[in-house]
Amino acid sequence: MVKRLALAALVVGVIGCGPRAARPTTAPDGDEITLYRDRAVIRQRVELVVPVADRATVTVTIAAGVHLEDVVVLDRGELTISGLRGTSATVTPAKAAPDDEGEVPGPALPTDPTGPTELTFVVGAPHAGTFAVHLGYVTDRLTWAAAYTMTTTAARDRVTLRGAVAIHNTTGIVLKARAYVVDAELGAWRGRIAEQLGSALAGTTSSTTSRTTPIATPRALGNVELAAGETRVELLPGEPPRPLRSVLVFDPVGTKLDHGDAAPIRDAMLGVERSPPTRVTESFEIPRRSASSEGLPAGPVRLLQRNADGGLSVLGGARLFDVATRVAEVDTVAIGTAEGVTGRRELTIDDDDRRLVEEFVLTIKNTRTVPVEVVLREHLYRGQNWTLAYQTAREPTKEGPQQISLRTTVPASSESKVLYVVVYTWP
Amino acid sequence: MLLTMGASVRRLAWISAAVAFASTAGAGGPGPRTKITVWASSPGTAAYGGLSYGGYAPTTGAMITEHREIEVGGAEVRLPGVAATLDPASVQLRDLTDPASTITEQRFVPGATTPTEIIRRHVGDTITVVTPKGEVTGILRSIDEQALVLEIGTGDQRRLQVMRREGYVQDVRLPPGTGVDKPSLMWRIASKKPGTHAVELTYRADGMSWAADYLAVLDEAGTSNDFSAWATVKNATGATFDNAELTLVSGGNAGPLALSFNPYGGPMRTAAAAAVPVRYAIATPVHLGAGQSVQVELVPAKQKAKSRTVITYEAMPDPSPGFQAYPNTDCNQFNGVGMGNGRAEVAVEVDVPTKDALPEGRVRTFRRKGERLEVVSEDQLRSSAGLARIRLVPDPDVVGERKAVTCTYDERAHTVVEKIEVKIENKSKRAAEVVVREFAWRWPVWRLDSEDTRSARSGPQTLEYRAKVPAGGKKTLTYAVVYTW
Repeated sequence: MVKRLALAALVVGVIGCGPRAARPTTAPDGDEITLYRDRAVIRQRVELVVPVADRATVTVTIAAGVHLEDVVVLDRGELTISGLRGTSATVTPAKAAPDDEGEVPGPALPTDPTGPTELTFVVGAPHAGTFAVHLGYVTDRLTWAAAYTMTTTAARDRVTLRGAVAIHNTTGIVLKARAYVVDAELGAWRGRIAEQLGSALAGTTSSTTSRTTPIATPRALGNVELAAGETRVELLPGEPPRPLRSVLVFDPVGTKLDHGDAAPIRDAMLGVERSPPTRVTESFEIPRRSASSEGLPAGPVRLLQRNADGGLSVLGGARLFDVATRVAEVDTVAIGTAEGVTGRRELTIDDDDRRLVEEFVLTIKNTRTVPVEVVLREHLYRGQNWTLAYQTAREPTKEGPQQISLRTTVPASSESKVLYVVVYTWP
Repeated sequence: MLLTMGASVRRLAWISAAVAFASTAGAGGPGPRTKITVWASSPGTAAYGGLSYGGYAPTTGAMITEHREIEVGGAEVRLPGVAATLDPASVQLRDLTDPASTITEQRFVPGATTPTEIIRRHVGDTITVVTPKGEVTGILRSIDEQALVLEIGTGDQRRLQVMRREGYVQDVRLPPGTGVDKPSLMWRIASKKPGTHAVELTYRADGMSWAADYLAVLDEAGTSNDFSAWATVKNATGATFDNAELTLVSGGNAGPLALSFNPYGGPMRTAAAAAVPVRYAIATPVHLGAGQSVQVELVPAKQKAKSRTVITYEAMPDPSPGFQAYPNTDCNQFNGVGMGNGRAEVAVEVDVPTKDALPEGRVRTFRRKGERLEVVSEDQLRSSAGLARIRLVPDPDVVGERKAVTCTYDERAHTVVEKIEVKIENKSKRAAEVVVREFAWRWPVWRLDSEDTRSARSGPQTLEYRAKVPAGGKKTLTYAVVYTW
């Protein structure tokens, strides 16, 4: 009991005692931050005070490590900008003279700047006053991670989902901005946006990837103030409890073999193991609410139980909102091995011309004295173009671009076989 | 290169010169300003042929013209504060006060970079050395990494003191303000008029370059955009230029150092060299600090400019960079056999206020979506006269094929006449305006003999044909090109 209390206290500490929460600002002044997995795009409003003269040189600060050629002036308002000065990534020192031994000393190693970058504007203005300019740039100095908790009661029939994104700011400046998080890498997301736009403008056929993998939706975080260090922003404030139900899951492969390409991997041994795992896990299923779950970034989740004495204990953990489960209607949190239930997975391959057929038999053995319902989670890891040609289970459900689930009920002290056939094609 | 060094030298008395000051002229005032012409960063060399096999070296760096005042009257004129990357062979000095003056000797002294080198520049000067036993003042006679030698005292008291640098010499105080450790030009000038002379100094320097950066912000529908063009000028010359008039040059090879060797007898060219250089004069003077970059606007920005959607189609990548040193006369090459369906891309076009193609550079494209700003793409801008084109995404619905209908190589007349046919098919359910990009790739000297659709030149060896192709429709274009050498 003491151990459980200590663990619960630790979890509460981890969740509740992080760095300060974001302070919504009343006026974000038009700044905007979009956080991607690898980088962040910042639209920053800078104010330039032009004194009495119609021409002025004004220095402003932006995030550290941003070079001049990476800054774009998105909106200059009434100003004319005749020059913008700063440091450049590729300006190398001038040729050094040889030393006494005739050796030319190498350039000094570049230092990683920690202070903000200074940009100097040379501007012309129609009159004296304060003018706003919007700049855009990309930085890798805003990193983030999302994490979730689910808290249930001893009855284990309802669960409350909470989540937060922790944003780490090492830009050297305080950012007050309207923030969004996009659970994708910038380059990949940009490609999808270009594809969407191209399709809208020219009616082009969308690619295989866009048909199978839904694009990450930007999730609004509201107005935040990001000072140096870490700031936590709530993702699901005031979210009502959701129903919870226990299921058994057989998922012997996982997502590790997923191959995100149109052409499948044709290696006959892919997914074949000498000693395939037979473990069936006991899990809880929580239905998603599409409205409030849209755009939530992937992250780890801990399922906690609030005990009668008020303490918390950890039931299990999993990951939520991964790309592989982006279209799933339920989330599953495993809490351990299901005693008395085992599974087996067998594979037959038929590799034809531009057509690869796999046949699987999944055998679930139940030694319990009561019937059990088992979710069979399968990963169609060979490629993105697949069709489920045949299956004997009920409720086949596509949970992600390369993930399906099948359900079967195994009677008490019995065995149940589920067969399914998947066909991969490629252009 | 230099002012005339002639017989007049003997008639003129040697007039010593010393630098009174060497500030860049015109700073903040109405006088003549420093003028800098910067050539664009050179494009990467072609994988096959081109520069790798002896083409033109594209002009790089900058030509810098400064106005200074020097004090003519000493043994030697020293002019510090010039670019450390200066090309000594390119220096020209024009004496505006006494045009008859001549230069008899010129030296370029690079900047000193190590402590020993900096101190060595003061051999013969009076310096002060701080030691644990006190300060010692004398004339520096010699220095190396281990020791320095000072001449102390005068007359009978004169002696040399050798001091160990490691552990004994704590500090070395050098005479102020001489600038001998900086990159400098030194001259011996013969002039009838001693005193302050205004001079114009022109030289070429490496380490200065510029590149174009473009920005397009599309509206939500993608039908209009804000387009701006910037030039980022990088100054790694080691010198600072204030209030400088800037001219940026893109493309072509108008510079003074173009190579002209060609084993086949004619001039050697690269695709870039064949382009007509375009000069952009920057309206306002700029400050170019050492190690700094500055962005200036290349052409006036356009707000809410209407944009058009087109499909660009290239039957093959441009092979012309590989055939700049010699013409390709092989009629079997790229004649249509096994060339595939080509490459089609959806692009957005915007009119720009230039008579020439915009210089090569990357374009960053954003789209306004509600309150948010979305990143759409980052790619190389394509441009022709008055037009900028931003590629968005490949278009699998437009396919085509290209073949040489006829190809005749006349070895005696030194010509290749080639008739090309390009077929395009639009498999989409929507009509498309297709821009077919073709390359007169065999040799930079060519002319069109015939064409059934009027083309536009978008590069030295690039032709563009516009064709409206209905949904599910096809279109065929033919043209004939004559290469001569």
